[in-house]
Order: sequence, then structure tokens, then C-alpha cells
Amino acid sequence: MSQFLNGLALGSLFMIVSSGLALIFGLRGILNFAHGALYMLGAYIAYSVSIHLGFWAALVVAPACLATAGVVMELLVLRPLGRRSPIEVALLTFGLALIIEWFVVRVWGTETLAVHTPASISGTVDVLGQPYPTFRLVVIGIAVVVALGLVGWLRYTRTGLYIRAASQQSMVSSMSGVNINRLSLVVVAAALGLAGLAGALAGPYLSVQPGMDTSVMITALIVVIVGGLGSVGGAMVTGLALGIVEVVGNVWAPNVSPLLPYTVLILVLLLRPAGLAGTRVE
Amino acid sequence: MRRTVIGATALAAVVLAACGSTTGSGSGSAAASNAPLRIAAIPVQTGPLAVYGKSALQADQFAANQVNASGGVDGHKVVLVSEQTTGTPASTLSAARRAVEQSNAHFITSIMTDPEQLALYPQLSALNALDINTLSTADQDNGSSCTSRAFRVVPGNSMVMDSVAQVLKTLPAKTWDILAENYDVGHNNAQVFTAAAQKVGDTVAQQLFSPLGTSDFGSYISQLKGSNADGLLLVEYGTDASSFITQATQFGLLGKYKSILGIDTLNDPLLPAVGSAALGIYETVDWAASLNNPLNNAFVNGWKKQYGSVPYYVNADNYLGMQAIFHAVEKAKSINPVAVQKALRNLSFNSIVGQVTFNPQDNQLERPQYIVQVVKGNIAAGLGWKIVDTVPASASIAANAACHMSGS
Repeated sequence: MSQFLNGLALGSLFMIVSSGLALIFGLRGILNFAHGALYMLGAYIAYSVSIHLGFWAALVVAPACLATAGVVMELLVLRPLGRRSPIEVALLTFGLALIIEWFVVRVWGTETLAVHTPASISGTVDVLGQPYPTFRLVVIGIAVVVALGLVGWLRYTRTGLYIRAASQQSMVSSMSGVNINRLSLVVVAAALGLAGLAGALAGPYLSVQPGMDTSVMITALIVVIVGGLGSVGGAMVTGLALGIVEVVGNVWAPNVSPLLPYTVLILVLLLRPAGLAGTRVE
Repeated sequence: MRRTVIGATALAAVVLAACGSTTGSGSGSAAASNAPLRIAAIPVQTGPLAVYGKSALQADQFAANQVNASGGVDGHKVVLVSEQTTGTPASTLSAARRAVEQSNAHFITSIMTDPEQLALYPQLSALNALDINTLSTADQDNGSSCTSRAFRVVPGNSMVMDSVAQVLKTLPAKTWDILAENYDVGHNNAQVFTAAAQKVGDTVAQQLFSPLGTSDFGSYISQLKGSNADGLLLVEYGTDASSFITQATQFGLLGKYKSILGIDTLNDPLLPAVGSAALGIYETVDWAASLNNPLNNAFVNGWKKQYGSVPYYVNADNYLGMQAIFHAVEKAKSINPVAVQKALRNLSFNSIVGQVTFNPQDNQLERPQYIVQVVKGNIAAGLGWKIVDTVPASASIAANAACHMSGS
């Protein structure tokens, strides 16, 4: 049971990070290679805020800061370069990631930092007779709320309808009166907010250190490809599944477990190149 | 279009996971008699080991500045050449070649891991370079893969475990779990520790190996919780160590063990990250700031004056590595790598850990070791170290029998 929860908790984190990446790709057709670095920036901001205002405040401030960064990124980077090829813009985001990494090291240094949680979620609770860390259950709970919120937003709101329409046919949506630029502003802010939230949750869970962006970026890329590029639902399900696969792999096949995500990636690319939920790939 | 993007993305994911490069080979030329002594420092500066890379580089620079302030080494000014590596063998080899061929630095130090060391060893003769190993502890380095051009300052795993064996019987735990990094050093430590435990009548319940860079230890912790062991041997480095201890505390795991023993696991920079969860953990070290001898006191005080903090063993080991090069150059009266190599082979000098000597059979520096415990103190985060046992060099000076010296 505890191993299943471990997989679920890790998968929850993957899910939150990856759905942001999938959102941006869905609307803009751009792979944001800075997403991992932004997640790391969220973790560092959460660290600083938690020292002064506590963890709960960090959980609000870090996503808010990153959402603001999303607005800036949309206005200064994505929108002006909207007519460039997606590969060119993706390369630019790669450069942005390097700048963020440099910034993080300059401001916070290279040492590992700890984010402390309030006493109420620091201990363990009994799950089917076994003690399990409360904080991991909080991560799972927040992921459920995020998932329901995203699904509700995309399915049942007018903005969500526009996002889904623009993700499939941007030009037609624009001709029908959808303001793609305004929509993109909202989507990029939300996506980076999710990266910030994941970073804030990762602090007490995985430690805060420079380099935390690389591994999560690789995982997020695998998740969005396997899930189907641009499919938020696919990214959510795949993120959760990959977390469970990774944990099960660590237990049953520790020597090959680091290769499992790549094996899944190769198999999906061979058998279903569009990804598990990627019916929109042309 | 999207298919192209999918393909490009998949490629990017794989490339991100395994980047590295190689360049052509060549050999450098011997330096002129009045030329500066150029030393290449090639520590990892990214990823979970970056904190040690920074510490190593800091110590190398400190040693160079200190000796230059007193006129250099045998009249040669010391120039530190810092090269970047990602920590992969290919990247480190490429950096070593750059250092030798472009910067004329034939003395290489501060390479972090044994895969990097072992990739470099076969190239040392062609590069006309010497490797001063201050960080990698695998037995293979000065055992089956030993070479006459590589000298190790830091104690090897077997030496460390010899010292562990001296104290194992005094620790309350009798059945041990092992959690180690899943590469040569981790497996090597687990193997040697198991033998040491058996010698004193202890048993090993289970061995788990986590990949370097593991961020979530949940699956390992759940397995450890299921074991009946009352002792834990930890061989986790850098961020891996702090992540494990933090998460193990969240799971309430650490309380079940009577003894937790780390091998190069806990150190000063990690104390703030792990906090009071580290209290009571034992650690093996080859140096302590509290060692009372004139050279060590001068080193610690000089460091405090320059950086405002107390150095730790990674700083000290790399400082000692630089001292070894300086003493060998003085003995050889030359900065020619071959002459310095000859001088290093049985070099004996007074150091920050007392009198130390390179064993010419395996090029390993013989030095004392210490078992310390995390206690309340003032090193960092309200924590400090207490020396609980000292193992003299004489307790573990046997040369590595697997070493049949190769190279010229």
C-alpha cells in the first residue's frame, strides 16, 4: 500500500508539472524547455518565502510569482516571436532555462536547501494500519484538486472552450472571434503557475538544489510525449502512471528502473506515435 | 509538423539525459624551468555533487593563493586552471585534454567520481600528465586499475572500512541495512562493509542501491521500514543524502535504528539541509577541524579568515592534494611531470593530518581516519561533530593487493 502511495505522490508531482507544459504546447505549439527551470525557480521562491512567512504562504506566493513571470514571458517572448517556427522559439526557451539556472545559483548558491513544513503536516498518519507521511498525502490531495480544477476549467468554462478550440484549430478559432493572444496570456500564466506550485510542493518533498530542473524536465517531456503532445488529460494520466512505474521499478527491478521511462517513451513512439491521448496529431 | 516536433522532442529528452562530448587526443610538452606550475582542477560543478565540486575548487584556489603569497613552489608561481565537466567520463576526459593541450597544465586534481578517474587513467601517459585523486574512493582506483601516474590522497573504501571495522563492535546495532549509491563506489562499500560486519559477528539484512541523483526515496524507505535491522549504513552523496534523511524523517524511519553510519554522506554543507534529523548519526572522516597540529591550525584559521567559515573534509582533502604536489615539486626540484611522479612515489611530508606517506606499491597516501558523530554544536544549523574514535594510519596501511602498477 505504501509503495502505491509513493507512486501516487511522485506521479502527482509529475502531473502538476507536465500539465503546465502540455497547456502551453496545446495552445502555442511550443515546447517550453524553460519549464523545468521555472519549476526550480518556484521551489527557490517558496524556500525564501517559507523562511519569512511560512509554508502555506509559500504555497500561494510561489505560484503567483511564476504566473506573473508567465505574463512577462508571454508578452516579451512568446507573443513577439509568434510567427517564428516552433523549433526556433523552443530553442529560445532553452536559452531562457540557462539564464534562470544561472540566476538561481547567483542568488541562492549551490548548496542544498530545506523547506520546512508546518508541524500539522510534518508527521505521519495511519493509512490501512501503516504510518505514512502526511505531507505526501497533502501533495496527492493538492494534485487531485488541481486535476479537477483543470478539467472543470477546460470542460465547463467559456475560456476552456476557447482553449480547446484554439488547441485544435488556432486559425479558425481566431477567425471566429477568439482572441488568441489574450487566451495565450491566461494559459501561459496558468502553466507557469502550475510549475511554481509543483516547485513549492517539491521543496519539502525532494529538497531544493540547482539541478533539480533537469531531471523533472526530462520526465515532463516524456510525460507530454507519451500522453500526447498538447493533451492536458493525457499528461495528467501519464504523469500519475509514470510515478507509479518508477516506484514499482525501484522495488522490483532496481537495476533497470532508471531506463523504464525511456523504454515506455520508445514503445509509445513505435506503437502509437501520437501519444496515448494524442488524436489531434496530424 | 507536430510529428516533427514529437521526434525533435524525443531526441531532446534523450540528449538532455545523456550529453557529453569527446575531442581529439594529444600530448603536452614539458614546461620550462622558470615556467609557472599549472594545476588543472576538474571537479563536477553541476548536479547533486556540485556542492563538493565548488568546495574542491575553493580549496585548490586557497592552497594556490597561500603558496603564491609565500613566493610559490621552488620558485614556480602556481596557476590554477579550472575546467568544467558535467561529471560524465567523456566530459571529464575532454576537460583534461583541454587543460593539458591548451593550458599546459600537466597536473590534474579534484576529479570527483571513479568512472571519471578510470576514464582518465589510460590517457595519462599519452598526455604526459599526473592525476592527484582527492575525491574518488573506489578500491579499483588504486587496485586493479592502478597506474603509476595516479596518486590518491583520499582514503580508499577498504581503508575506510578497516576503520569502520575497528568501531563496529562498539556500536549497539548488530543487524544492518545498507542503502548505497548504485555505482561502483556504492557497491564496493557495501561489499567491504558486509565483510567487515561479518568479522565482528554482525549481519547484513538487506542491501538497496539507488541511482545517483535519486530525488524520491519513498520506495527505498518503504523497503527499509519492512526490515528487522537495527543499524543502517548510508553511502549517499550530496543532495541524495539530504533528500534521503529528510524523507526518512517524514516517514519516521530513522528512529527504528540504534546506529546510523554514513560513509562520506554527511558533512558541513549538508547540515543545514538535514537539520536536527542528523543528530546521533555516525560518519567516517579523514580530517577534522579540531585536529590540533600547527599546520592544521594555520589552515583552519586562514580559511576562517578568508571565507568566514570552518572548512570541512572535502576542502581539507583537496588542500592536502595540492600540498602533495607542492612537496613533490620541491623534492624533484622540477615541474617536469615525470620527475614529480618519481618524487611522489614514496613522498613523506608533514601535513594538516600529521606525517603522511605515499605507499609506492599502490600510490595511496597513508593517513589516519576518524569516526565522528553529529552532536549539538556551532558548525552549522546548531550542529557540530564529536570525534568518537581515531584509527591511526598503521591500522590500514596494507597496499591494495590488486594493484599491478601500469603506465610509465
